[in-house]
Amino acid sequence: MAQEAARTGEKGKDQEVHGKVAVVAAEVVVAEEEDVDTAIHPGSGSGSGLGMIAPGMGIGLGGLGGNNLSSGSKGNNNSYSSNSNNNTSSVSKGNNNNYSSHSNINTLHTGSRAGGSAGGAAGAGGAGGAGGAGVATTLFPSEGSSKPHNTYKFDTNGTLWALSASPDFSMVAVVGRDVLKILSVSDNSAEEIVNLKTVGIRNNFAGSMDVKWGPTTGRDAKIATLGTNGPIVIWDVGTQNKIDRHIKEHTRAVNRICFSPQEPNLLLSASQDGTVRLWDLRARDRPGVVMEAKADNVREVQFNPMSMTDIVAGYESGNLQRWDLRNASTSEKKFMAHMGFVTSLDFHPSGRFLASGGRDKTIKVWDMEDEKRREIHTIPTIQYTTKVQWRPNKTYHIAACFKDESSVQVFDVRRPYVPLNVLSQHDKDATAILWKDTDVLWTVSKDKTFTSTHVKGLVSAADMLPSGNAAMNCFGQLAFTVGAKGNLDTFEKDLVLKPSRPNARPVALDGSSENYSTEGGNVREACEHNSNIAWQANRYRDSQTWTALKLFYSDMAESSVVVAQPDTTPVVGSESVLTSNKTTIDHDDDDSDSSDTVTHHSHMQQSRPAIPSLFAIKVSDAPVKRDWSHEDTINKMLEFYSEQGEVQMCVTILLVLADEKSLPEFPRSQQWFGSYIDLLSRFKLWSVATAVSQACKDPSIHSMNQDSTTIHTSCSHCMKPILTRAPTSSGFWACDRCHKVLSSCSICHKTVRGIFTWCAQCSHGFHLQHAQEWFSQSAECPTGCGHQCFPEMLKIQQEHELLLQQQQQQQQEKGTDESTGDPMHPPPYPPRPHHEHHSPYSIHHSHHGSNSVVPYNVT
Amino acid sequence: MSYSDYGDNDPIYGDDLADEDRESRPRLMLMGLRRSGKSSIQRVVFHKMSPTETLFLESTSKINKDNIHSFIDFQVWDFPGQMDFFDPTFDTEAIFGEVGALVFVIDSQDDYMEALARLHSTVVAAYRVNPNITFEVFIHKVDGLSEDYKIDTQRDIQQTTTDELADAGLENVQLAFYLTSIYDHSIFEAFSKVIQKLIPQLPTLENLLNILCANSGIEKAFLFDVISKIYIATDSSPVDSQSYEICSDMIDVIIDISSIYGRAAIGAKSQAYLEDQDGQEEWSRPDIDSRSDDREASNGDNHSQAVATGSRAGSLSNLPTQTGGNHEAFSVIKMGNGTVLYLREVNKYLALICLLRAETFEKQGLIDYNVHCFKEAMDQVFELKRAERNRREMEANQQQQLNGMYDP
Repeated sequence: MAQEAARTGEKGKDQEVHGKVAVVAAEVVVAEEEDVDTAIHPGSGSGSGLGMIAPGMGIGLGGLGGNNLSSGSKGNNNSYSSNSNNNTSSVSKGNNNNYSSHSNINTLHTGSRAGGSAGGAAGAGGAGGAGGAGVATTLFPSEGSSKPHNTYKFDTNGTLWALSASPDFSMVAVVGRDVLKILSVSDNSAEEIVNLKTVGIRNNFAGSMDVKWGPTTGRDAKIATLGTNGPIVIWDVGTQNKIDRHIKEHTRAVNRICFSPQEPNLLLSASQDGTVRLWDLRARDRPGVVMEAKADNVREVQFNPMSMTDIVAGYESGNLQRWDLRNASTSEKKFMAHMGFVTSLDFHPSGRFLASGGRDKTIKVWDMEDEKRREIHTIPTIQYTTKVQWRPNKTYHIAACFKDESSVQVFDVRRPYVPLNVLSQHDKDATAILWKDTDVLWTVSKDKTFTSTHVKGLVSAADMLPSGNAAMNCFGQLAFTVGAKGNLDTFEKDLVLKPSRPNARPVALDGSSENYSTEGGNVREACEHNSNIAWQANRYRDSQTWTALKLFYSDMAESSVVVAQPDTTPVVGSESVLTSNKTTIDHDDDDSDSSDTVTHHSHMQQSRPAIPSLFAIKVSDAPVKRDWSHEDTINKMLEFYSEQGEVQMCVTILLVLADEKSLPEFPRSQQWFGSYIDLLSRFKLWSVATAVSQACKDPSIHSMNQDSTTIHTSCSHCMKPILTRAPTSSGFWACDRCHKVLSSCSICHKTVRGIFTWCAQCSHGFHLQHAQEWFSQSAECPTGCGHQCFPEMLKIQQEHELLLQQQQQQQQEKGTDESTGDPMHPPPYPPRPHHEHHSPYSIHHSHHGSNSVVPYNVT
Repeated sequence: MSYSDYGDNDPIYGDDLADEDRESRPRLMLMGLRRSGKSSIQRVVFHKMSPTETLFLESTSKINKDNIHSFIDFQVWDFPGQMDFFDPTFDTEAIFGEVGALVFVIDSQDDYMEALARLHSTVVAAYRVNPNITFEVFIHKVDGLSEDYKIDTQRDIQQTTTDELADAGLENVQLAFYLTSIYDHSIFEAFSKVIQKLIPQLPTLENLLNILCANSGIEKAFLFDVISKIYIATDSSPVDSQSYEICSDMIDVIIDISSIYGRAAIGAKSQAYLEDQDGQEEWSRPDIDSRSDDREASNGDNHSQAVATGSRAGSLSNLPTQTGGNHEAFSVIKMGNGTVLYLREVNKYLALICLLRAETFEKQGLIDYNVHCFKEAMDQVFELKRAERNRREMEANQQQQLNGMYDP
């Protein structure tokens, strides 16, 4: 238990990690905590063996059934009475005569029929039971068989709705439409020992909706059934099979009954009439204690197994109410659990947690000691559950059967979406479930069978799922699960979070786009500038690209400077190129080589030095432009960037190289420009966007900002738009609404004739001259509205003040010493790192914290 | 198409019927803040207005009383949202004195704190006047909310209201909460539950249905009020929305088909659709309600229509129909998933719709017989009710006579 708790703790921690990195974690196998018992493993040993034998033995088995009948029933009678002590066995023997007549007939009936079907079922199991556990139907247990549990079916010849086991799990009562039977159950088989239907028919029996076995055994054994036609019937099954009592006080149908696990004579009933009633079976004449929730039908009621007085009822409205039996007037706690009715409840054996199933197709787990009224687990299900039950000795496991669903599912509440096991033994809707012990689940179904299933041997549904998965988030972090088919906690530990590449957050557009130089005049300078900018923004690839472009389109004198860097490899490179040059063979080959190195940046550092040296040698005597073109390279480069979605690079490259004659037409350039301008507008970089569209040679882009040239104005007083339709009585001079003069100068308060300037944000206007005068002094709006109309002015002012202060300080400190360097203007860029820098794209390289953008100076 | 079509002004029923019932008629009040959707609910549920049309409803300015003649007769009062009922000039006694159910509508897409305050004051005032009122809270317009948000909203509203009421010392007042929307069946389901609480025979009906289900292997049975598609009783197994929806849709189908094929013989009237609804309503056995005898006589040809409807609807599913000479609508629809829908008229207003498995339906004769027994039982229940009323009427008459005798 403690260990389990520790595991959940761990899980919680790991889930937190999940949340943080927004990782889609894979569903990973939750295996059984214990080792799998190989003896009962499906496909090995007994399971398949039985399935294999059955087809041949089918008929024989049926025949055998008939022969063995008497001994079989005898054997079961023995096992029945063996529960009580020897004294009572004689009594029960005496009573045997009472019912054995018809019960034997019934046994014969079902025995032969079930025997016949047993062969068929087993045959089917053998034929179709590949991989799964073979369905072994053994009706008549051989004495002293010590085989492990098997999955088997028992046909009761009637639709079954509910079951309940005697406290020692040796017998089980199954009820349904037309059925009211008690079966004796062993590890490998079930057998009918009592059929109460005939007794029931005399008492207006019309099927039972629910059955509960009282916690007493032996002579006092009692079961309670819930008739479809109303009453709760208490049967005395310990000594004789007779009806002990009818309870008819409920005014409407009863939905559920429940015995107290500790006080054998206390029975709860939940009814449509909105009441939960408590009956003391010893006090026959006393009416039950009524716990009433007005106008709310009660669907379910359950005793807390750890308490004498604590019960929980589930209502049609979706509420759960906790009652204390000592105070029946009001509920202790009431909270909303489900949307729509509550269909099933089960207390955890610890008495603290409660599972509830509801119409909203969920199973929810509640901590009843918690005040928060919030579920601690939610399991979404395929249909609404008709029954839920916690698995004994497994803290987190819960089994559920569903409305209109033949399969029964076992869930781990910590892992809500994938059931641990899916039991599909039934052909029709499974209606009720009951755990015999940790591994054996009893179910009844509308297909008229009672089935005992060994859950441990089943193939876990969760195992079928692919156990490894990976996902990447927008920061380039990768999370993956390692599908170790081991314990839950090993999986949790194996969850690895590894950033696989440095945080490549896109350069903030306001950083680089404003600063990228796009002037077509001097390609070399522009490229170098851009390369620096990109480098500072950690865009190493872009920086390299610009450098490459610079090399392509710059004068050779510049190249020689680069060559001057000491390096060993260029010698080799230049030698080879030199020779090729001399022999004048395949000039284009070299060209394509170098272009390759540019496009595939990853190889750059090895072969790159060859380029400058090549230039240097070639150009050393004749500084002419290269006669080979870079079209192909540029093309590839642009394609690459547009694939990456980097329209910024595409556009700036196009703009920088706008004057290059050799540049071909790029069919998609219009598209790039369009989206880039769009992007800039979204970042509110209007002037940059305008500059880009101005610089573009494409007529459609170039004329873009000539399209919509209408400016809509609004009144500076009431901020209502000024309608531009035909002049009203006041014309355009005054606002229609507030009747104030529109174009008055904020400084001299006279109407402005001629050029009217105004602040686009606070909408206060001035004479041009007045504005100039005012804003040369101040950044703030003269009206006193508080708006900083000229933030640049403010900045200049501040800088000016700062400068003055510093100068004063310096003068104070050093007296005559005049500082030559301007402290406010550091060199615009930090020195360019050496380009032999270890590749920034390496996986091992970590740039965890370096995703902030370096602030640029406005140039 | 709606109740008002044969409401008080309907010549067939006549005013006397309405007057006669007025005292005993339970009242159902729709209250809530303005624009919370009260009138829309009333229109959609009782007047078959299409939900999309409710957008154009004017806001209600005065109390709108709507008489509903059905299995039980009741009156729906639609209150204007902006009205202050607790103005001293307003007669709370008169308003709440005879109310059966008070439906308070809360717009869940709006900020509902104001609505909750109003709800609180309404409940406190109404409870003081009439402690027998059942309070129903519709958390309305939930179609716009996500599943998680729905339950959170309901939880929040429920918790706040019950806490507030507990603070006011009204722990015993029970409020039922429903998540509703006019765009799906939830409003009909919620109204079904509201109406069910007003039906005194509900336990009996439920028990009858339980027995019918148990003995016939029926999965789920509803007793529908045909026009409003409200179910007035069902067996005690939980109602899941799909089965309700499919039954409700079945009624639509039957009505539509009968309006197409059941029309030809009458033909003459211009208001074909409404009249046909009438014909649909005439699904009745003459002996159920003696008061409608004149109506039966005048619309005798409608009976054959109803039969035709039944047979046509039956033939739609390629099944032989068993109209068997009695004037009952009857229809069977077999669905692809092995479920059978079985509809049978019970009386003028009610239809029994059962959901059952195809293999159970193989014993159709048995089911028919069981349903027949069920109908007889129903008749007896209502016989009792009518006898009770007659007795009361007679007493009243006697009283009147006595009074007359003592009058000068």
